[in-house]
Amino acid sequence: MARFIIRSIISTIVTMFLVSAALFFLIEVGSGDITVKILGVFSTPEQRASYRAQLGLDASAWQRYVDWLFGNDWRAERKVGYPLVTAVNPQTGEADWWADVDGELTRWQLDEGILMTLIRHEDGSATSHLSSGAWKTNTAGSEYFWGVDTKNNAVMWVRGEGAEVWALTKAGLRKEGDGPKQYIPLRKGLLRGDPGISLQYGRPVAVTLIARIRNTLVLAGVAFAIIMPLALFVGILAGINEGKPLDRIISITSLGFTATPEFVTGIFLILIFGIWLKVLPAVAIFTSADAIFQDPKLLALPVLTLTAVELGYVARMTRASMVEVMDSAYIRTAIIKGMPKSRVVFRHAIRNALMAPITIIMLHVNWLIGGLVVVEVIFGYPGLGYYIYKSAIFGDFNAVEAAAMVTVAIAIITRLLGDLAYTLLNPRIRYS
Amino acid sequence: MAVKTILQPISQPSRLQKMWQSTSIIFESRVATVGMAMVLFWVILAFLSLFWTPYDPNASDFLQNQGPSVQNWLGTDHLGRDILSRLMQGTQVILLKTRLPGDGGISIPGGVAIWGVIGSLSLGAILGLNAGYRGGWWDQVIMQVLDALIAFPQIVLYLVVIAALGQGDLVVILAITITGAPGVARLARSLAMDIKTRDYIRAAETRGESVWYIMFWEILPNARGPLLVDGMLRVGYAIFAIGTLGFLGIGLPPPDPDWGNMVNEARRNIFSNQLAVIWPALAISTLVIGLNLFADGLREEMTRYQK
Amino acid sequence: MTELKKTPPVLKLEDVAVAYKVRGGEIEAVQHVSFEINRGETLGIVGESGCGKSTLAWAVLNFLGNNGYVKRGSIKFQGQELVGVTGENLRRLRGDQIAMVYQDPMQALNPSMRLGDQMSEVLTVHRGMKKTEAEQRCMEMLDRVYMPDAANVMKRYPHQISGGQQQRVVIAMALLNDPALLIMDEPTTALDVTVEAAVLDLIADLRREFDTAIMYITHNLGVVARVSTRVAVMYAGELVERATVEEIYKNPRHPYTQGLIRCVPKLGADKARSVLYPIRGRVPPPNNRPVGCVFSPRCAFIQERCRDQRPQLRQLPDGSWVRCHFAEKIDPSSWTPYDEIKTPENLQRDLAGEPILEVKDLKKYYEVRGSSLKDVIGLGEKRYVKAVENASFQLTRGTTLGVVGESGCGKSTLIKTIIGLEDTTSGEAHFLGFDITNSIKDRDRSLIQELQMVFQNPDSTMNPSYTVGQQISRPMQHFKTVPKDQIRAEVIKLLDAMRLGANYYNRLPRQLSGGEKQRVGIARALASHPDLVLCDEPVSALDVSVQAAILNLLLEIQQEYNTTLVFIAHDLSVVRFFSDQVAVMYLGQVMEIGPAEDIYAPPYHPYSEALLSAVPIPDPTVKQKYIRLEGSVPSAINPPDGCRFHTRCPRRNLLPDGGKICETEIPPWREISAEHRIFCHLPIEILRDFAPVVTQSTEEI
Repeated sequence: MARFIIRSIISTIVTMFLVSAALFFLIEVGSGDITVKILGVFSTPEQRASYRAQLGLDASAWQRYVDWLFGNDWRAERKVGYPLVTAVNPQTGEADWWADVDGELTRWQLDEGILMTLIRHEDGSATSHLSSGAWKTNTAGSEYFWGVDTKNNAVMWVRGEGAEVWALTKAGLRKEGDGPKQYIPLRKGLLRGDPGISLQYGRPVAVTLIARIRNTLVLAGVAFAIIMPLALFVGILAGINEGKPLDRIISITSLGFTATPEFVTGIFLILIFGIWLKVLPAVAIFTSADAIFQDPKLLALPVLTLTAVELGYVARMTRASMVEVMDSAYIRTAIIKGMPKSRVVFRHAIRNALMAPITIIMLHVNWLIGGLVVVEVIFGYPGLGYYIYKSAIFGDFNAVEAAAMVTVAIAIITRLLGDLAYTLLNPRIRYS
Repeated sequence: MAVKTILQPISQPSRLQKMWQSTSIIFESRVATVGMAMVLFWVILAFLSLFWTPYDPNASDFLQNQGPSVQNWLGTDHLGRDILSRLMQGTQVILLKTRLPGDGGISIPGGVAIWGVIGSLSLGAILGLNAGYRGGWWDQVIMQVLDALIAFPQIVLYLVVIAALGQGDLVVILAITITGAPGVARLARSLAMDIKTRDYIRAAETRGESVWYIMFWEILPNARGPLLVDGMLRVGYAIFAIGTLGFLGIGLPPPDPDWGNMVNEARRNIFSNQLAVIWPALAISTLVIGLNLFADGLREEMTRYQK
Repeated sequence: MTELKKTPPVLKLEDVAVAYKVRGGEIEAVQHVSFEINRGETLGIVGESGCGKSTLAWAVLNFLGNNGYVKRGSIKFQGQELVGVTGENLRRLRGDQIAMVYQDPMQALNPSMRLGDQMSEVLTVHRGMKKTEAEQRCMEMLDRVYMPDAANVMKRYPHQISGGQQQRVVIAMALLNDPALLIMDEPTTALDVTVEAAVLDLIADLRREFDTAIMYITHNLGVVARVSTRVAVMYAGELVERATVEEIYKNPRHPYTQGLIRCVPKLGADKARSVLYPIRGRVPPPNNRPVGCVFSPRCAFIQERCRDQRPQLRQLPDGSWVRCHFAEKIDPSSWTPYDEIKTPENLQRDLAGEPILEVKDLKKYYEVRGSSLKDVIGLGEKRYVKAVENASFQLTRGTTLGVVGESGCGKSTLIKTIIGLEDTTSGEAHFLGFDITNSIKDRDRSLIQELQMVFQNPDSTMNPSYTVGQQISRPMQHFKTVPKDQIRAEVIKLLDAMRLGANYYNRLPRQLSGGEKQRVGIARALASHPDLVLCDEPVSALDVSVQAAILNLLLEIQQEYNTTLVFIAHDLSVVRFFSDQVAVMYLGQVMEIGPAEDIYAPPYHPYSEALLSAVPIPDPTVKQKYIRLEGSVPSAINPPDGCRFHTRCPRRNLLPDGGKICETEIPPWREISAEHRIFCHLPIEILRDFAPVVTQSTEEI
């Protein structure tokens, strides 16, 4: 059993790495120029190139993969020469990067060719000083300086050669002088909980994602709690009545529900409950990310849609497994031993019959997530699925990657749990 | 599971008899017959639409959001187009033709769903046979890669592929192939692992046959039945997925109408015209349910055959 | 004991017919069956597969599935009618008054319940006993079926104990409520011969002790002879003969019974001196039985009346019952083999001729992985299954080497290594002078062609997707032994040699019977004209009458092509009959090797002796020495030091010190003669002193 668990865990870790690499390269290498989307189709090639450098996209794909996964502050630290730390900005509530220069949190700024040092105070404000003697000389004889700028990048300025860069502001693109030659957009990396900045909204992905994951977990959790007991019950009921009318009814109904796409089911439910019966709001408006906690009625239709689609699948699996078990030699033994039917079903059959569906159900969780995407889109539900959808449409790869990794992690972890549950249910594995 | 191919005739007669033998099993099962009727309905409509639709599916010739009438049997949509014509035309990209990229407007026969499933069956069978028959490291590596693919929720994988490669018929085929292959591979692997214990595989090995011969000439023909049934189910899933992508607005590109997209557009007018939503929704459901019933009935009949 | 008829019989069947509803009609699987079983009596029901034996058992328990039912007749249990009893009444009978033991104990036990729970529920449900009391009873019962360490077994799951132990648990479970009737359906068929012997002993003991009526179903004539008091022979759904066990074997009345007995090689019979006579034709399918006597198409004594009039089961003056119009008139000694069977001639082989295969100190180890963390990452100590240890033998052209041993003894691994499906760990092996310790991938095609194999399971020996012709012609194409345009003619020639004929060319495997599939398998192996054919239990999955035909076929082929054979089997009578030279294997080690007749007579290796005494012999008058091995076969991962057999050897106490030497030192090869060697510490003189296992002479009737 130990062997089995160790293998599962190792395999899970390997899988996650494979997935992350596949995801990263498919999206970042496969997709076109993201700056077109951000800056608009009327931006000039020069503007795009400048913006790409600011996003760190001019680095090699491998470099960016490592940065994305493990962060790049440790790489930038070697250039800057000071430990790099984050401090929460009281105005935005988000973390800013600072260099820790002998206990003082420091950033730099190049103003009219003059290097300024910004020292952070306890309250988050900063004062600006003239920085002297900071320039270093490289082999070619030009003077340069590595520091942290005010936009959370580690940057390299070259003295007297302030580059012209295009900065994206609320008012649009603005040409600035005194720009750095090189950017490293600082991030802690996915493994340390920082998937980067959303290209669509400009805010850290992690901040938005957490609220979305929470909402989705509520939706999926409620749906799961309804689906599982119901589906197992219905499936077992159909399985022990194989071939009888009850079984036929259950089988055909569940097939019908399974084979109907979520968006069709969802729309029918809206039609029935929202438009014809008028018992539930046909169009749910989620005013804020917390709306579901204020008005739980908003959950009803999304949960119902998920239930309709998933119930059928799980019920069918359970039925098939139950039929197989009821047909087995040891059930025959139990009947020939004169055990009452109830005892045959509950003591002998159910445990064995649940083994197969449990792994399949757990494998099926990523199907459920797929369903979630559609359901969230139909109902405008502010969850993870809707977030992935919006980000994918925009091409916001930081957001897509992070959200996709979350879904993959959920899928893999549930599968691992399914394997473990199977191990616990099956003494043949447990004692070997 | 003993994998006897039921597609073999009892005696060794003409091709015609052979085909009748293999199809007659469908009528043994009521479920499969009903399923086949539902599928055939759409296939016939699809062929019909190649030559004739009531009106031009993309022309706004009528009043908007009208209910069914003698003129427009199923009514009109929000742009005043005939819904029946659009539904009929919409079967083509799914079942009958794949539009190649480029301006030539060239299509190849075989719909997006069909090619996608052929893709996943071929890729999955090759991977699964290698993993199942060779075992050892082959198995470990192939299964590890497949596990990684399976870990992606399908819709997310579609979104990622489309986010990376853009829209288009070939992209959808690729997405269906990638999402379907792991499932096929698992099935092919388990079949191969079962079949490779048979003595006739030993016999081939003791003849010194090559690994590829054994996989494709000794194992594959006996795995054919379950793989074909699985493929049938997968056509259903593929149509399901195409519909979903269309609904999300990232499916098959215009000008051909896309059922999923029809639902999506119509739902914005759901308060005024509910039928415009219901027709394409029904179309998707009936086709997918038909394929499911067909495959289910066939599988049940095949296992009965083995007993 | 058989004549105690004062109380009503425990089970009485009268003219029972069982039918199954199928698509488009009904099939009568069993017809016109009548018999009774009394207390303390065992009725053995024998017959080949598909004759309706098991259906009968299910009919008694009224467990015929959704589509089966008792169509006619009555089944009385202790005078009470069973047909039509359902629901609660039926449930109370099952497991309480009537219990059943099945063929495969592993399948019959619930894999996810502890054995103790599975057993004790019989008592708690039927007797309303308290759990602790029930468990106490179960443990006592386990002790009575000689289960070692009963308390521990109660806590275990089925997969944690061996097959023989599982069957003991199932038997103990059946006996818990002291049932009046015990139905046993092939309870020892899945077991090894020494384990089978022990279980059969147990069944005989329990019948005496519990005074139960036993209905014992089997296909094995030897087993019936050992356990039954009376025997009923079934054929094609009908009971054709019923008599005491002595009468059945000494004086079989029905032509089918006579035929069956002629099919089975006697232990000690060999091909040079005796012939097996298969029954011609095959069992008719239930929906296509002849109008008259069901056996008439295959009967050698057929008369006009047999074709159109169905005989009744009637009692002969000597007390036995038979379903034959002419039972009194048939004289078995007047029976002559039909012309298909050639009497073999000149079968005595010279073992000292030119060797074709030489194997010396051949070893095959498999690596096994442990389950600790260290093992998973690959740092743990490597462990090996020692599947074959130091096998050495020589094989002369045109002779047959038989390899016997129980499951897991390494006989299959040995031939896999020879044919190259596994590579060799160490040792030498030469075939036609070429080194064959490499795997098949590294062998020359012309060498591969000379070394072919025949397989065990007829249902999997042929690829279901290809026709007979395609499968036989494949080796010819592959080895390019026959020009393309002559392949078809060559295949048909081979089919004729297999007595199949050209019309089989286009048939698919599922249109063939088991015996026919096996013939095609043999044809495929012979298609490349190999010098050496390895046969892996080629007849063990076949019915006895078919088995005889296949053995005859192999003999003919060997004569015609001068083929050399290695023949693996677990049935000692078959091996004795078929082989010139025999090797006995135990736990990867060859224990004894020599000419066939020498192996079956003293001096024996103690293991060979035990095997011989375990074989069920289809003749109740034969006396066998009683030797039973204790414990079970040790794991091949850590085989015992010294002699591998020492943990179970019944003879080691003949050595000084109780055989201490066996535990530490590897035994020497004792050379009895130039060809006959025994791997044992016991000196030759002691080995020679062993009495023969089978004492009554087993000459032809």
